[in-house]
Amino acid sequence: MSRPQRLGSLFVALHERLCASPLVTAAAVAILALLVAVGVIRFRFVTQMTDVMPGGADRERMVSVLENFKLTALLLIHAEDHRDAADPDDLVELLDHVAGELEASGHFKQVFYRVPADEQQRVYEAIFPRRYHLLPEDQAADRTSPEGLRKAIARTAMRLTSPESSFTEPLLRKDPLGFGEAVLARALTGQNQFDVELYRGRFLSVDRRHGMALAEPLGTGMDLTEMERVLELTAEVIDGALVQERFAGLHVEAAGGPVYSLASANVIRRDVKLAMSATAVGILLIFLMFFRNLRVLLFAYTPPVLGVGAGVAALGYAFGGAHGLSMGFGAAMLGITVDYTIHLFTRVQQAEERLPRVEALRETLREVTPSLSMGCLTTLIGFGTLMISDTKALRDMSMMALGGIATAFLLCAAIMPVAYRRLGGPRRDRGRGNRAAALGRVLARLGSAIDRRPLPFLLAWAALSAGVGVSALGLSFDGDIRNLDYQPPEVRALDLRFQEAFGAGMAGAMVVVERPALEDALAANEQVAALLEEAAGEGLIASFSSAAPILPAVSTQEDRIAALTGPGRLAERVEAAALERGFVEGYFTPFAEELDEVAAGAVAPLGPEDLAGTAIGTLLDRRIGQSSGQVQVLTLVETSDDGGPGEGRRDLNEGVFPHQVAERIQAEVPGTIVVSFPDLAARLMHKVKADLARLAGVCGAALVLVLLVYYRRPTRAALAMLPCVMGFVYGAGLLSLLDKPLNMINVCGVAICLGVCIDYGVFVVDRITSDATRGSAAATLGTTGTGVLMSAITTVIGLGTMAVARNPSMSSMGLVVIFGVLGGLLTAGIGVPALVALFGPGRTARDETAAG
Amino acid sequence: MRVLLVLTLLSAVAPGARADEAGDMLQEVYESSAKVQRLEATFVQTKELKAFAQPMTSSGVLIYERDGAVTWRYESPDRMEFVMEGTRARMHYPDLGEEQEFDLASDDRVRPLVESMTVWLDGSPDQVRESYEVTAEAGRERTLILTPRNEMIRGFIQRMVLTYGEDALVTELRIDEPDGDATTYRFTNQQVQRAP
Repeated sequence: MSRPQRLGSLFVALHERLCASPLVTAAAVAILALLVAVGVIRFRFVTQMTDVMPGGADRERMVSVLENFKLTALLLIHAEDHRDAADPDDLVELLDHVAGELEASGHFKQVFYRVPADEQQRVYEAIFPRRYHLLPEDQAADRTSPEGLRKAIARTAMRLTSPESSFTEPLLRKDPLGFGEAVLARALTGQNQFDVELYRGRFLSVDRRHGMALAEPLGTGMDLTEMERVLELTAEVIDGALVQERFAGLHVEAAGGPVYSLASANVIRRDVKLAMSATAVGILLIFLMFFRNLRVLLFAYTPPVLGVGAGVAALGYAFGGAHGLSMGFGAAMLGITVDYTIHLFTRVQQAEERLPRVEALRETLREVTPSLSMGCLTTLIGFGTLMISDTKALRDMSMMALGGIATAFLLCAAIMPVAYRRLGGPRRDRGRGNRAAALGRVLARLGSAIDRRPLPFLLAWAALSAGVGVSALGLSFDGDIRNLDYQPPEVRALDLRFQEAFGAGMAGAMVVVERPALEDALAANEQVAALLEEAAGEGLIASFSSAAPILPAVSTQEDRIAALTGPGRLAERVEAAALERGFVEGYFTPFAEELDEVAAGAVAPLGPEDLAGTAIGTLLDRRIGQSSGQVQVLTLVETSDDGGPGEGRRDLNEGVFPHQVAERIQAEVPGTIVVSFPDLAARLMHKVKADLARLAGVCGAALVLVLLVYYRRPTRAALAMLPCVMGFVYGAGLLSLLDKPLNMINVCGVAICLGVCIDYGVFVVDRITSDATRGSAAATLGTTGTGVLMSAITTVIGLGTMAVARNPSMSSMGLVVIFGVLGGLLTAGIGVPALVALFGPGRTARDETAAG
Repeated sequence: MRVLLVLTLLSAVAPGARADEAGDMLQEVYESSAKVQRLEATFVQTKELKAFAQPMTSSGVLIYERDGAVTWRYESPDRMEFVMEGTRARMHYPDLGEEQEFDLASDDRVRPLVESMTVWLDGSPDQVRESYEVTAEAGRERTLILTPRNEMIRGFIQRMVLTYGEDALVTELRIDEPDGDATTYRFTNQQVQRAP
């Protein structure tokens, strides 16, 4: 008895045992269903694109920065006055109303929309006495040089003759060199990433037609339920405001991270639901069309549905959840696992034309389960290999496949035949014939044609495959994770309008210094700021927003005081310049006295606590964080020509920035984390390519080994592998023809192709090399070919809908699978039979037929 | 010139004969200038400051537009411009390349000071009555003295002395500060556009 025969007999024996113990069988199914239900409940959707990135330092850094500084959590409230006679006071009133309601809702940690006069006064009181600590050395040197002093005193004289001198005179007397104004201006322009001005303490655009507020929800951007609640509440508040007559002609809208997260998640959810529903409906239609029996449908449907549930449950148990993009694989898994039931019930139905149901079941189990087992094993090996990948999306898919496919196979091969035997099968209808059998006869005719003239079929298949293969060589890879996400145009428009109103560009890079102590982190942050200033001067970056101007390290502040109060007393030089300009002697004594106090240490250097509770303090909180016992200080860098998500993107992989800037920063400030999308994309590209090569090697070797052990003949193993290989070639080649790149998501489609097509290869090779067919393409396609074709149809129906998904990476994954399945089907249905007919046992059969 | 209207109403505020005198004069200037829509005048500013041994003299143009901006445009020796419009005030120094804006609506310190600098031009009757004690100066005809009632403003402005010409237009404004500094504006070449 051959190995497949022994395996078939084992399944028949198992079937008889399970039939004899219905309670045990039912209990096993109930336990399985319970485990699946609990696992599915544990599962959570993840929306961060970082979740699909390859692991390692890059991913960890990006996750750490995004989480620590909550860069994606801010809700941006944008109020606009459309009217010709715009009135900024109305905007202020509207902002106060909306932001005030949001603040009172209890769903926000903080709503930042106004800087009251007393708060401005607190900032002034914190910064003005420390102006000598805060003005950088070069600017201080300019102002204290002989020429600088002369100019500063002349400026003070001019300002004393202006109308404003009534209330600025005391300040001018204490600060004749203008250190205070320079420091305050530097603090505001250096720290604020938006192009706004304070109007009545509110943030308005320069043209005063737009106003903004920033709201930080209590939940994180990953908590979609909370984000949904927050956005619903925000919409209610906005709608409630805009119906009021006093706000007629004004408009408010919300943009920012929560809107993005939710829109992205909703698109993915919709796509996944659509793909799964379409797959389910497609399979339903196929079954109704071919089997015309609802009970068969139930038996055939249960394994794939429970299989998908088991896959999700496996993710829930193992990882707690997965990104929605990974969940798109659920639809593909329906298509893969339903293959088993299609094969089983097609063959059962064909056997029932000749035998009673019980005998038909036994024969089918004996003949089909070895192929199913082999198909399942090879699929599990293929997907199991993905578990060693660095890419989280591939590991998610692997876990889902291992749980789902194994469960579906067990149900199909062990449980469903029992149910089928006890509950009854389809109505046999010899007169009208069943459609599966009718399809089998059509395919048998195709097989006969191949048997008669295999060469033209082989040449046609080979020519087509070669053409597609050449095209596959031109396939490119897009490593930018931002291109994996999809935002509806209306959401992108929100973001664009906000950017246009407030001049806020998207950060192309985030630079984070990390040190054990705040003082060291601030010192390193100053070094970074100096390097970025240099880069901006060279035009490598557009701008950057740093905490360095407002909060230098204590050592830096002390150095500045030492430089100002050192030899050649500044107060005496100011006095001399003032006398020369016509001032009376001793007029600037308040300046000299204050400088003496500062030199004596009477004024402590500025610390974060001095600005607590102020607008600048709040902004500083968003720039200074703690992570794993380290103090992190963040700088946002805006690239020169990155349009961000609101515009068509340039090819970020070719960006000049930030490679050289990042390298410069990391060389001069060791230990600095530079998270830049172009740089990241380039590194991811190399990483994923290496990962894929490794996976392909391991997976290919494992499959070859298993197939060699199974078939014991290299030619058969090679034939069984051929549909799988060609599935990859067609997937890549046709994608390339459509000028679409491979990315971290649609690469999963390649894995799906392997899983599906390896089954086709095993089923066809098993059948065509069996004693029953003796190499006959007609006999093979007429039986197994029917199942393979129906499997391919269900897979394509399911993933074809994914191809029209709004999310571009999901749609391209659908395309990869459709193209791959097409390649696998053509190879299993035409290439392999033609090869066998030309070079295998079929040749003998054909020769005999010709001779006869 | 709205202040002139206001000032005519102030006769009841100032006590005694001086108040009557002030009231009569303000009534006169109000009737004369109520229809002024636009005023442009050259001015000479003399600042006697403790900062300098010598008085500092500047000159320029004052432009007043009813319901619009009040602009002090300094032309000599340094170019400067101080513009008050609505709730905003702006000080511009073209030669220094500097500009400073004051949000009068949100800054409770600066607003009364800036208003006090313009109230004699553009204040409402109620504002003036509430904010200043108004008297006429003994021995000087056609002169009014505005003394701030607000203690905070008195920290910057001790009093304002307004002198009117025969045509009921202000010809001189002197602002005395509590620390001894004083600023005097003398207006000439007054060109007036009146409503029909």
